[in-house]
Amino acid sequence: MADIEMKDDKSKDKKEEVKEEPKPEPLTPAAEIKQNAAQIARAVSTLEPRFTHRVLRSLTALRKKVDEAAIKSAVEGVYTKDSEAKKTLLSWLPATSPGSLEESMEVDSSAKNASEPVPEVEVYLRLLIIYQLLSSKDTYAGALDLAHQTVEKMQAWNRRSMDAIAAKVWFAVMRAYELGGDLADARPLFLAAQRTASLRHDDEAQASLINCLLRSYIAYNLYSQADKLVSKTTFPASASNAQFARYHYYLGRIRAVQLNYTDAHTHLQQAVRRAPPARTAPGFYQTVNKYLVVVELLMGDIPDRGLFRQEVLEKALGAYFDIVKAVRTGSLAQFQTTLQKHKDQFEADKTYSLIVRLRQNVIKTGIRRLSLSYSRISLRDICVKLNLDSEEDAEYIVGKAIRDGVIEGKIVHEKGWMECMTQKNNYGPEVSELFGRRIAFCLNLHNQSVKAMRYPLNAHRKELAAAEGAREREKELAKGIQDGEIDDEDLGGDF
Amino acid sequence: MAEEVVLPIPNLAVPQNLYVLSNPALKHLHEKAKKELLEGIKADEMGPWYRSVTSALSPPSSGSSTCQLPLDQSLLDSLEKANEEELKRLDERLEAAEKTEGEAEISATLKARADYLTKIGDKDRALEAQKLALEKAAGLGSRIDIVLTVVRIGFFFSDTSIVTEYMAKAEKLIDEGGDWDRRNRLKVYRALHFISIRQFKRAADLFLDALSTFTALEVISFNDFVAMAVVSGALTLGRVDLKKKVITAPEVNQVIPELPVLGDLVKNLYECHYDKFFVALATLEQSFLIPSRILHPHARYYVREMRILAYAQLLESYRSLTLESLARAFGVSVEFIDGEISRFIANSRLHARIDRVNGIVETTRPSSKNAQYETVVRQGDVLLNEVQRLSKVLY
Repeated sequence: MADIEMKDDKSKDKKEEVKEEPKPEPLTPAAEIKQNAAQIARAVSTLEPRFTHRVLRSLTALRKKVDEAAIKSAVEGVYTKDSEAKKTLLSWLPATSPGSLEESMEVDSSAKNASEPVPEVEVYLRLLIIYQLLSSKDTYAGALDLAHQTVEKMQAWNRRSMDAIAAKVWFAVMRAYELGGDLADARPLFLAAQRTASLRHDDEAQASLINCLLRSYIAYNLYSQADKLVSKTTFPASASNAQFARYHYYLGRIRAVQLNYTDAHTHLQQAVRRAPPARTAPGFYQTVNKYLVVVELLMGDIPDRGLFRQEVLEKALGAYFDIVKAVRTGSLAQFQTTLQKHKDQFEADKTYSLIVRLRQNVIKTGIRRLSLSYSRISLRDICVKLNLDSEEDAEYIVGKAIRDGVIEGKIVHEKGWMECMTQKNNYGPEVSELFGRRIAFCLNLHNQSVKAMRYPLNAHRKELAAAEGAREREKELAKGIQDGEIDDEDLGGDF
Repeated sequence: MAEEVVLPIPNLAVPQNLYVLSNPALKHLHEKAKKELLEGIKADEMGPWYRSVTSALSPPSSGSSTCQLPLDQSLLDSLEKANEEELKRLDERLEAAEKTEGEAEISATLKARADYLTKIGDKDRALEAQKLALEKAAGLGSRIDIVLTVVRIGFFFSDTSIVTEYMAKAEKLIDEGGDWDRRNRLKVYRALHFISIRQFKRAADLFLDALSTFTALEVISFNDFVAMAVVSGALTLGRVDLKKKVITAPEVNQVIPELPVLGDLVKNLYECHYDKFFVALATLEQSFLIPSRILHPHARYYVREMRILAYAQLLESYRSLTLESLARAFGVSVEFIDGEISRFIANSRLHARIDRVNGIVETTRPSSKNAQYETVVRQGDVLLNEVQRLSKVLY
């Protein structure tokens, strides 16, 4: 991150007319918006998407800080008087007190362009306004309308440089629908937009739209439709980490409902890996971990206790920890009571249906623990240890577990006992595969990092100059030798 | 630099008694604890602490009144009056010193004031005063002493953040040039801190190191010190070290007659009399671990680890063993042993398998290859998760 930060400062210094003026900290929200607008303009003019990405990265932090006054003063600062766009933008903002106008009088050297700013800036400002409107309940309808209008304009413009911002706008549209109206209504709009986006090879928007669609399907429990969407589309590989995280999360949920727990587990793990660190996005981290815990239990593994002690997760996953404990001890009664106790929370998290499936798992886990400790155990003892009703019950359940592959063993019916094989064969033939995957991942990461390296623009000239100088010196040396002025004794010191 | 005897301020026996009082399970110790607690409070004039403690205990917690410290208003008033007088006197001395006398007097008075505030148990003011005294203190020795006093305040109020912060400072100061006496004292403090956060191994090393040079009576009594050394050593030392450092140590033997359960524990573990060992372990838990303020949260952990140690030690010598002989060796029932061992095997703490039908336990020799493979995969995955975060830079 260090070199990106450095360039950030350098570019800002270049923009300001006054040389060597250090960046004032902290910037007021209005000033920050204006600065971002200038950055976006720069991005368009130099055809480098990096600046847009940088601006968007600061979006989440910024939108918490701004309020209507800030946006309004920013709009006034960025646009010249009497511009069309400015009027429309201002019409969306409710009237604010005149005291904020003085901010636009600040000498902000970065916003002195007299020409009409690029449309991207307008879309960016619209995005900020949408978020502002979404922050309070009574302006949801307004947000929805603004979102519609923005989307139409974006499609009309069809500029590639607007792609990154467009993706964010789609997300805002989805939020507007979710909070204000019915998410199902948005689906046709999204589907159409997704087709257009894939035609135009607009990766970011495509990724964002697929995620919006998945979210709308899952919210209404339409898992089969979501599955079809996933199978028919390819998620663009160049999407940002955040989009990937969302995608994996939705995919994990779909697979879990479809009883494909191993796949669900890998997807959810990917989601955790790609997600921003737990401190910056605690909500997402907590939700994904909740599902991760449930899927692990369904697979028959017990999640590591250390997971629940992480600060971010401690409170949120309290109920899940209780369930884990109940499953771990293999006691059905405890499981039932815990389930009843936390029923409301599970329903709110939409994990209730998955957890109910865990009943079988409680018994399976109990049997697995027995198979680990005992090489041979009578059915009567199994019955006692697992609190089952009768020996026949025990035999039936154990038989089913063996058939499902939960444990390896066999029942000797005549003698009335169960024998388990030792299973310490982890270091088997699949080792090379396992290691191979991890090594491939590391090498891939290394290659991508190398590809993404950037060199400052004129550094090679300096090198050329140095090379030139070196060549001059060599020529002189050669000439000297030829003329007999320098001979071996003088050259000896060079080594 | 004159040799000063470090005073036991704040008096660490006092919160121990308070803890005993507040735990209803320890009713049989309440009388004694209450008496000692009140004596300690009176001796040190602990007005502010007494107030905070009684206001914390008197709100409706449990019904029985014997396990709370009833607020004795007259005692509180007399203590607070004494506190105020003393503080006024010290403040006057301080002003006089600042006007007339030199640096040494000022720092000495500051130190006296800070020490008084510490003694009466007023946490916030004491901390401020000590910090002030630390800045003005002359000489490395007195600075170290002040830092160690702050660490003691941390121990008193069970405030681990203070303890860790000032412990680090103390270590730095002592590295710069503390004398051996202070170095040994710091060893005792560090060991105490480690044992309170369940790092038994490091605590054991430090305790046994400091065993022969113990002078830090202000933080822990000699008997308690040896007891903690034995307790932590029994868990973490191998057999050779256990014999050398604990069983034959002269200090330990000195204390054993007063705390026979410790001697029983260690000797029986070493000589493989497991039934007596179990009895000693149970007594130790009841009499020492649970009543202790510092060791109480780790009591269950400790007892479980000791049991695993004993089972592993016995099973090491055998390829297979009947459940009955196992039960007989430990002096418990077959059912109990069966439950215990199966639990520990399922958690991979013991390497064996039970054949319940024939009543036999067979040991397995685990190859380290599997364990290493598992650790590589597991920790490698954690590492890869972290590394993946770095890839965010690419986007």
